[in-house]
Parts: sequence; structure tokens; C-alpha cells
Amino acid sequence: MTRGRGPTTEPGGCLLPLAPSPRSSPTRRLQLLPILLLALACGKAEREQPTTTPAGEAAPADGDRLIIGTTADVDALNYLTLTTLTAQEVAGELFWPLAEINPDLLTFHPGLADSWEFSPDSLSLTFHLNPRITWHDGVPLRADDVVWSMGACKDEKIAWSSIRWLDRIKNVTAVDSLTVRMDFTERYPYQLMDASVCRPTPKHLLEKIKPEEMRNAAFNQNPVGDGPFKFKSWTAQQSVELVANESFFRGRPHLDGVVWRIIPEWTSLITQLSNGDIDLVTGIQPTFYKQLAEDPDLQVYSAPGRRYVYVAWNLRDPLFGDRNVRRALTMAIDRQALIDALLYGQAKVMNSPFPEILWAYDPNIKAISYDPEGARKLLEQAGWKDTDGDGILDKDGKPFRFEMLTNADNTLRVDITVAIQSQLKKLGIDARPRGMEFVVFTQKLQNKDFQAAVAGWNSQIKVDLTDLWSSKSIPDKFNFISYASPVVDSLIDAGIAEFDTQRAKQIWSEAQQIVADDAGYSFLFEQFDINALSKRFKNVEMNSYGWDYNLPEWYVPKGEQKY
Amino acid sequence: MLTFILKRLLQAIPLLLGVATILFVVLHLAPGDPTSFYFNPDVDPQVIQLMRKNLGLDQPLHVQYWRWLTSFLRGDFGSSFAQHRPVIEILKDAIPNTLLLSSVSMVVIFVLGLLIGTIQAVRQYSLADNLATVISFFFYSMPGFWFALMLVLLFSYKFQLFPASQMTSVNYEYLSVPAKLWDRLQHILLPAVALGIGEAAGIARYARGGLLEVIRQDYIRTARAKGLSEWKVIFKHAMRNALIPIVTLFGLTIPFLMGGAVLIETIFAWPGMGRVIVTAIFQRDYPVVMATAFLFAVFVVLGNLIADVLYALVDPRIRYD
Amino acid sequence: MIDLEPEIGTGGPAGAGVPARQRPLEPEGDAPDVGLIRSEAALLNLPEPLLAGDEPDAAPAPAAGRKPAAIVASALLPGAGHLFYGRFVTGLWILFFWGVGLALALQVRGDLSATLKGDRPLDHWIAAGSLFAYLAAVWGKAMADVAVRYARPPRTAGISEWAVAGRRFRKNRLAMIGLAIMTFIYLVTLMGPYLAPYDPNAQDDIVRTRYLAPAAEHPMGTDKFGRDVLSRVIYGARISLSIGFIAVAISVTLGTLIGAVAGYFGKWVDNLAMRLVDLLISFPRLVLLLAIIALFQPSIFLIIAVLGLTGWMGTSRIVRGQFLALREQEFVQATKALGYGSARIIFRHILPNSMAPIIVVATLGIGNTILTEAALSFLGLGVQPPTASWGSMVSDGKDALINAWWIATFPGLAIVLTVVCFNLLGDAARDALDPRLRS
Repeated sequence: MTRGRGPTTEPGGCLLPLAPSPRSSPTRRLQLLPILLLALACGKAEREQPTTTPAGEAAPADGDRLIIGTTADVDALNYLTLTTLTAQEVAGELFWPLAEINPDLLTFHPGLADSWEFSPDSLSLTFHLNPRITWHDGVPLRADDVVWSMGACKDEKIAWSSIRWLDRIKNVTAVDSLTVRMDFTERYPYQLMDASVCRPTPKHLLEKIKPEEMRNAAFNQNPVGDGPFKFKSWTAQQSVELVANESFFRGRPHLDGVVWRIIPEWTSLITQLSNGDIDLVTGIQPTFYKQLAEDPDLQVYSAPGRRYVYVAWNLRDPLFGDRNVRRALTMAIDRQALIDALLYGQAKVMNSPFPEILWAYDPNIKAISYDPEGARKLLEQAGWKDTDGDGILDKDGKPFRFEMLTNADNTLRVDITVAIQSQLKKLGIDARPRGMEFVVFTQKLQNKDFQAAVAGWNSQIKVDLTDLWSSKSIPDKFNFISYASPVVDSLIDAGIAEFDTQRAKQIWSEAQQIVADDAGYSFLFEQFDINALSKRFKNVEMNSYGWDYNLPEWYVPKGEQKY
Repeated sequence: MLTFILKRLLQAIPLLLGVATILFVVLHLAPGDPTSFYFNPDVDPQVIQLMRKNLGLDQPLHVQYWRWLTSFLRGDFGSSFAQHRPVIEILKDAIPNTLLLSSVSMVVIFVLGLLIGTIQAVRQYSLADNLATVISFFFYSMPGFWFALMLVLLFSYKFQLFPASQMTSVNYEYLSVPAKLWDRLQHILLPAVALGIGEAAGIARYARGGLLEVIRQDYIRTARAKGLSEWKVIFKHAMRNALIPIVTLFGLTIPFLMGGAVLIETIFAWPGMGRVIVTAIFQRDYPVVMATAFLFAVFVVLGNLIADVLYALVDPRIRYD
Repeated sequence: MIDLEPEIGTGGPAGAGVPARQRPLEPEGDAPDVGLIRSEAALLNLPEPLLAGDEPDAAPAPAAGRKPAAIVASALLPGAGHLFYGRFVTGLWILFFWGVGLALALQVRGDLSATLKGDRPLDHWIAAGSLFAYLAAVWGKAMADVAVRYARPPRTAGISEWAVAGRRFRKNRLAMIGLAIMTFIYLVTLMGPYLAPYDPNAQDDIVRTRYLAPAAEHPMGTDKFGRDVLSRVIYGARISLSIGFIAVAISVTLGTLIGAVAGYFGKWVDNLAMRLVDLLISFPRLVLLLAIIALFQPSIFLIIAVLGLTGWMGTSRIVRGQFLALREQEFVQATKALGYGSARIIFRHILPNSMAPIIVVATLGIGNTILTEAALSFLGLGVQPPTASWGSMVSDGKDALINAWWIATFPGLAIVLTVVCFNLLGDAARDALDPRLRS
């Protein structure tokens, strides 16, 4: 069943190879996949065949609902103001992008726009909207909506969270009621990605709201979108319910509705999943993997995603200023043991600043591997010895002792600090775990007021190391470890401007090697996304973009329908 | 009586303002900031500065306080930073749920507590009495959240008798009216028991002690001597007087139920005030914390007042002027 | 009168041949009663022999010839002396406790000598000290019993209020059981390093050792890091018990001082203090706790301080009430007339007379504080890992509840047991100290 995803070949002429967002959820859109491409990549998009339509299964049927259990509530369902992950998931079904990314990561296909093309100088991009698209209230979607939305996304008073992505889009104009042109300040590899990152919102409902009032608009609780599902109800801290949009431009989704139920406690959540009260839980803690994988009623997905976890060493701290000390610490941590012990094997050791799903990832860089003896020697060379016999290394009379911060609400991270504490203790290093509230933790990182921290990132889809590793990002961005390497800085600048994939790969490969060698982070692992879903849902394709990649195409055979 | 109530209410005003002020200062001094959740490479630091400005967080503390106080006194609780909607709406959603849970708990507490206490007093020194004494000590001493976890483990997971969380089933709206009631009852039972059992044990001990004291009095002996049935003696004569101290507990239990349900509400995913307040604290959602904490203080004051008024109502010897 | 007639019919076993009226006079002690009840019963029906002394004291002096043998036996083997004069149960208990202590000392003699040589940390010193103190206490008890038996004449003089309360307390069997368990818990806690079978924080090959169900090797199983839950419960007791103890010490001291000053001086002082109390009592405590803990960094000292400083209001109200009542009494007026200073009157004259409710509040408060600490740990803001506290262990175990119930269950039970004991003791103290309940 391939209804829904649209044509499988690339429309129009040769586009710049960067596809916009991964599909359905805004986060994903924000963090776009790196789809770089072959310079001549105007390509053909091959759509993967849906993975789970075994022959002999009942035919796709409309009906039934999907009940999703999640721990976090939705904050707002307005695409312009939402912030929580759950809200991003929900809004991903309500609002549709102009162009959607293909699963091959190389190409993309039309969404709200039927086609698009670049001007000869590549400085403007023109979208042709699909005339059949209407908002959920029946009003047709027109170029004015797109222009207005772009303006809203760029409006500082609304403070849309990805506002900086639009910095290089100069003007957005409606050529006619179905044609939108976007003018760029310069030519660069990510133009199409940036152009479609802001999903259209209905102008006729929002234009009267003052930008500074947008965060409190009633629309946030009662959104009107254009996606495959329409908003039905939201009861705070309980549930959000969407129903099928009968007039979705590709036809209605098979499911009658999708319900997110908010259940903050994992034990209750897993209990209800096992009972069948809930059909789907995503981002499951690895602790539950084995139990769920053995459940005959569930299909469990576990695959590398974009999340990774690391130990950040504050380079301004006298303890961690020495590169060899940081390397020794990285050698002293048995990362595979962490994965086996805390993640039940549902993760992969990480050595590069890029997760492996990014095209720029280089599997061949020289990794720092687990080697406690080597670590001991390195530390000794750096002057750290246990001279007073208390079991703790010291240098100039100071013991090797530091605090390792993390946010206490994240059990996995707390567990990691505990395990690392135990591993480092064997080498005579006294690491003291300290959990704190998330808001305090991030504040300490931002203020560079920490020694070591266990934290994680959800990798961007854009291939770029600027925010985390460029010395430009030390003052007020995310290089809170104060890592500064002129070589890396220039490699980053060269990498993000490079159109040729092969050359770009080489540049990034060099940068990865240096960042890995300098061990500003001890990269720990890339965590798998674990999702468990009731077996009655068929034609399910989950991938590294998210569980909801082809949600509108899921169905439940007539005989198995439950609701 | 009326003047007494009025006087107490007037006294409460500076008290509540004091609570609000201290809380405001403590909250704003605590590290962390409502915009911390935007700590993410996707969000430019400039955007965060902008948000802080929009939320008024860039102002000095006294300006923020004055702004909050004036709108608060006008009855405007402000807008939630994290949920992007008026605080009053958040409260409107949460308060009925908390009231539902706490009133059911209250029923559990007082019915169970009085019943057990009475049986214990009437059958003093019997096996049932001793057993109930020991058991109620255990429940009274149990951490509520631990007991709740044990309930989930046993009744939801092992025996699958009751749902583990939330107020209603997924298919609630498709049920018939009696089925809806049954569904709600099933969902509320575990949290109500988890919330109420400790207090019920406390009430049982009070009830037993109070009744025993009363039963020794002369007028009870007289009632018995008149040949009244034992149950009539207990319920008509003894109970009324034994209830006096317990009735005051009723008032004092109110704030506990309003605020003490934090962990229980989290474990059972009950969308009430406790969860609102804890989430808001962790998110530094100042307007929500201020409003909920203020309400909580109001409940304490009202609970105390209710206790005093009830005391006067059940005991004619007590008069307030 | 029917009562006076001989029993008609076969007569039940209870009343066989005895006129019904006499039954209430049957001795109390034989009934299978449970503590509390007994003292209440006593108060209803039988005046307790307050002046006559306890059974052993009152016993007639035994023959002089057996005296040295019993004492020597007791000195060599505590408890043996009791056997000489027939107190078998007590004797055997003392023997048992002595044996347990000796066996433990033997078991850990290596540790002990290392500790004495000074190459063990502080907690080993505490453990060694506790072990010796324990042995000394058992030996001393045995010797004292024997000595009292043979030497001291039965007391016939008046008995102080406190002695009366103590006697009533000892009559409360539930409370005595609570006290015994409490003592046991404290001993185990103090001697933790000798009793815990494993290092509470040691991690080995995690994959192989984690989530082991309770079995001989790990009586309470292992947690997600393969750490022994029993050892962690033993070590966690220190945190939970010290937090309970110290925080309550702080809050009771503070509450007593404020309450005393308010009650004694009255007027604006009283007004000010009581408005402060009203204010703090109206605070949602959890909000206050969370905000303060966020202000500083969570640590055991902070938690103790915060719990102590936010828990004194109840005590101060009670103490104030006591002072308001007492300061008008003649003996206080007399001291004032004598020109004593306020401090002296407060601490030397009024306070000792208000101790009863303070003791009760403190005992009950410890249980409550342990529960509060557990709740904070449950929210992740308690003691920092890897240090174990009972609350944080329950919190750690909650996500694995379905697969590994033992991780959260045992520390939870430990909390319940400890708090039950404190509540039993507090309850018994209230009964024992309340003059209204006295005959």
C-alpha cells in the first residue's frame, strides 16, 4: 500500500541536493537529516517499499485508533509556539511541510508544494502549491498562507524556536495565489532544507493575533492544520486526540484517529502497554527491552537514532586542561560495559562527533579504545600518582577529585554517572556524581560552572559542527566546554560551504579525527530508539527519522480492529 | 460565630500575602530559569534573550514582584510560561480532578477509619482489635508512594484487576452511563486507597481512643442500664461525643489532601494539582507555582477555619465570640 | 441475687466454680494481651502496684549461700547467673545476646585489630565501638540484675513522675517490641561495616551480577548495578536514620526555644512568633523544600538542615501552650518572686515540666522525617548516588518494579519497620507521660 507518500520521482529540474526535513515531526524537521548529496543529485527518489505488509495479510482497511502512551504533556499545538517533544509529534500530523524528505536520505518529494525550482543563479527558490489543499476548516491553502507563515516564523516577537534557520532567506513573496518565491542572501548547500523548515500555518486564523500574544493564543489549544489528522480534543495532562482528515490531499489515513495519553510514570506506562490498554510507546528505556521483545502481542523496533550521550570535560578546569588527561579518562571508561549493563546492548559505542546515520560520519577514524593500563600510564606521565597511599591519585598535593553533574530526572544519565564513578575509582580517580534539576543543570552548563557533566544531544540532521565545536560558539552558544582549535574552526567553515559531497566528506573526516583525538567529550554511545507497538498495526515503517514516518499508511485489518 | 469567621478571614489576608511574597522571592532566587528548556542548538541564544524579555524576566526582581502582585490582586493569575495558556485554565482543569480524588479518599479515610476504630473500641482487646492496632500502625507508617507502587505492582500488573493509571479508559466515551461510572470507579480506587490509607489508619486510632474514653463515662453506663442495645448506645450516645476531635481532623486533612497527593498523582498519572505544582516547579513556571502555592495556603487557612467551626458545631460547649 | 448462687449447670472452663463477680479480679498478667491494652486495662480495673516495686525487686532475698556462685557465673558468662535463681527466660535471652556479640567479634577479629591499629576509616571505629558497647551493655545488664537481686533492698520510698512513666512504658508490650526492634536496627546500622556482606557501592561484572533475585548469596537480591541490596539497606539505614534523628533534633530544639520564648513572654513576642508559625505552616512544604534544595546543591547536610528548619512549627505551638498554662502556676510565680532570671525560670523550672509532649512530638517526628526524606529522594533530590538511602533505593527500584520487585520492596519495608517502631514508641510515650491516663 503506497497511498500517501506521493510520487516517487523527483519533480522538476535539478535541485540542489539538500532535501528538507525528515518527515513528519517538526523536530525532525528542525534537525534535518544531512542529506548531502552527490553534486548531480537530482535524482530519482526511490521509495522504500513499506516493510511490514506480509503477503497473505488481510487487505488494508480503514478504521481503528492508535493509542500512544507518553510521559510528557503537550504544551501548545501551534506550530509556531510548541516546544515539547510530544507536541512536536502531534503537530507533525496536523501541519504538513512544503516538501518531504525521502527515506533514502538523498532526495525528497512534494508535500504541500507540487513542485519547485531554483533560479539560474540559485538565489531564489519557487514553490508551486498543490491547489487541492485545504485547511481542516475547509478554507483553501494559498500562497498568502505560506508568505504569512514565513513572516511569522521569522518574527522575533513570536520567537519561533528555529528562527535562525531562516536568517539567509531574505524575502518571501507570493507570485500568484499558488506560487511562492523565496530569495536567499547567498548560495549554500542547505537552501531547500531551510526553505521548508517552517511549516505553513493558517493565516486567516492567526493574522489578527499580535505576535507577542501568540504564545497565549487560543489557537494553541485548538489548532487548525492541513495534515492527515485533524485536532479533536486535548485534556491537559491526560490526552490529546486527533481524528482522520477525510479531505487530506492524498486521501484519508487508514486509522480513524490517534490518541496520545500522558502517563508520567514508566512502570504504569509499561504495565498498560503489556495489558493492551496502550498500543505504542516510543523512546522506551532499554531496561524494558527484553521484556517487551518477548511479548507475543508487540512488535518492537530498535535501531540507531540521533541521540547520543557523552561526558563533557570543562577545558577551563585545571584538571581537564591537559589533552592527555582527557584521553586517559576516555580510555578508562569501558563504554561497551556501560552499554551492556545499562542499555541491555541497545546502543553502539561512539567515537566521532557525528552519529553514524549522518552521511558525513567516518567509520574509519582512529578511535580511543578502552585501555585502563594505557590510561594509568598516560596519567602517570601527566604527573598523577598516588603518593599518599589513600587510593586516590594526586599531583602537587591535590587529589584527582571532581564532581560529575547530570540532570536527576534522567535515570539513564544518573546511572551512567554511577557506573563511571565506579570504573574511574579503580584507577584512583574520585568522581562524584551529582544530580540536579534539569533547569539548574543547563544553567550550570551555560555558565560553564561545572567540572564534568554527563549529557546528551539529539543530533541535528544538518551536517555541521559549528554550534558544538567551533570556537565561535564558546561565548554564548553550545561549546560550553570551551573547546578551541583553529584547525577545526577552519575545517568547519570549509565543510559547511562545500557543495561537493566527496570533498565535504574528506573535510569532515579530518575534523572528526581531530575532535575525537582531543577528547573534549568522552563520547559514550549512540542510543537506539526503542519503540514497541501492538501487532495489530500493519504496514508500519519506522526509521531513524521517527516512528511516525508513514503513520497515515498504517492500518489494522478488519478482523483485528479494536476501537 | 459569624464575626468570628469574618475576623479569621481578615486575619488571613496578611498571612496569605506574606506567604506569596516569601515564595516569590525564594522561587526567583533559586537557580534555573523558565527558558532553560530551550537549551538546544536549534534555538539561538538570542531567541532565548527575546523570550526572557517577552516574559518580563529581564526586569529587576522588585519590578517583577510589583507587576505580579498588582495583576494578582486584580484576580489575574497570569499565563503559564511552559503551557502557554492562562493559569486560571490550568487550575480549572486540575482542581476538579484533585477534588474528585480527595473527596473519594476522604470517604475512604473517614468511613474506613471510623468503622475500624469503632469495631476496635467495641470489641476492645479482642483479636480483631489487636490485629487492627498492629495493621493500622503499619499503614500509618508507610511511605505513601511506596505503598502506591506496591498497589500497582500487585493489582495492576500481577493480577490485572485495576488499571494502573489515569482517570478513564481509552474507550471511555463509547461506554454506557453505568459502564462509565464503573470505569471511573475502577480508575479511582487504587489512587484513593493509596492516598487515604495512612490517614484512615490515623483516624481509626483516634476513633478508638475517643470512643474508649467516652464509653467509660457515666452517661454511657446510664444508657446501658436503661437497657438500650449496645449498637444504639455506641452510635447514638457515644459516637456523637467521640466524634468531636475527629471532626476537627476533617478540616486539617483538607490541605494534606490538596498538596500531599503529589507523588500519588504522579504514580497514577492523575491530572491534579499535585502534578501541576511539581511540574511547574521543575520548569520554573513561576505564575503557575505562585498560583497553586497560593491556593494551597488558602486551603490551609480554610481547613483550620473549618476545623474550628465544625468544632463549635458539634460541641455546644464551645463558643467563639 | 443470682450472682451469689452457685454456678448452675456444668459451668464453663472460665468460671468453673468461681462466683462470677470475682472474675474481674483474676490476675491480669495471664491473659494473652498486647501491651497497650494491658496498661489501659490496668488503669480501668486494677491500681498498679506503684509503690511495691517490680517483681524481681520485691522478691524475698534468696539464701545467702547461692550468692557468690551466681555472681561469678554472671561475670564469666552473662545470663548464667539468672539460671541459678530460676529466671530462665531472661537468662537465656542474655546468653543469646552475649553469644551473638561474641560470635560477631570473632568473625570480624581481623577487621577489629586492623581498626585498632588505625588503618580503617571512621565508620569502622564506630562499628568497633558499638560492638564493644553492646557487649559491655549485655554484660552489665546481667551483672546488674544479679547484683540487684542480691544486694539492693526493695525500694519503698516515693517514685518520681519519670519513674512512673517509665514503668508504664515498660508495661506496654507493643512499645517494648518496638524498642527492641529499634535497638536492633540501630545496632545493625552502627556495626554496618561488620554486618554488610558486600561493599554497598561495589560494581563487578554488571551484566552477570545484576537483578539477581533474592537467594542465599544475596538475601535481598541485587540491583541494576549488581550491588547487594541487603548491604545497601544496611548502609542506607545510616543516612535515613541520621537524617531523621538530626533533623528532628534541630526542629525540636528550635521549636522548643521559640515556643518557650513566645509562651513565657507573651504579648508582642508571642504574637510575632505565632504569626511566623502561621505563615510557615501555611506554606506548601514541598514547594519550599524543592526551592531551597535547588538554591543550594542537594547534599545530606542540606537535606538535614532544610528538614530541620522547616519542621519546628508544631513543636513550638505545643510548647507555647504548655508555657502559657504553666507560667501562671504558683511555683513559677514563686520563682519570679525570688527574683530568678527569665532564662533560669524557663529552662530550670518550666521546661522540665513540659518535657512530656516534647518527647512525644520528637519521637513521632523522626518517623515523619524519614518519610519526608524518602519522598525527596523519590523525586531525585535527596542523597546523591552512589550513596544509598532508603528513599533513593525505592526510587531507583521503581522503574524495575515489574522485573525486579526486590529492589524497591526491601528498602520500603525497612522504612515501614523503622517508622512503625518510632510511632509505637511515640504512642507509648504519650500514654505513659499523659497524666490524665494515670490512675
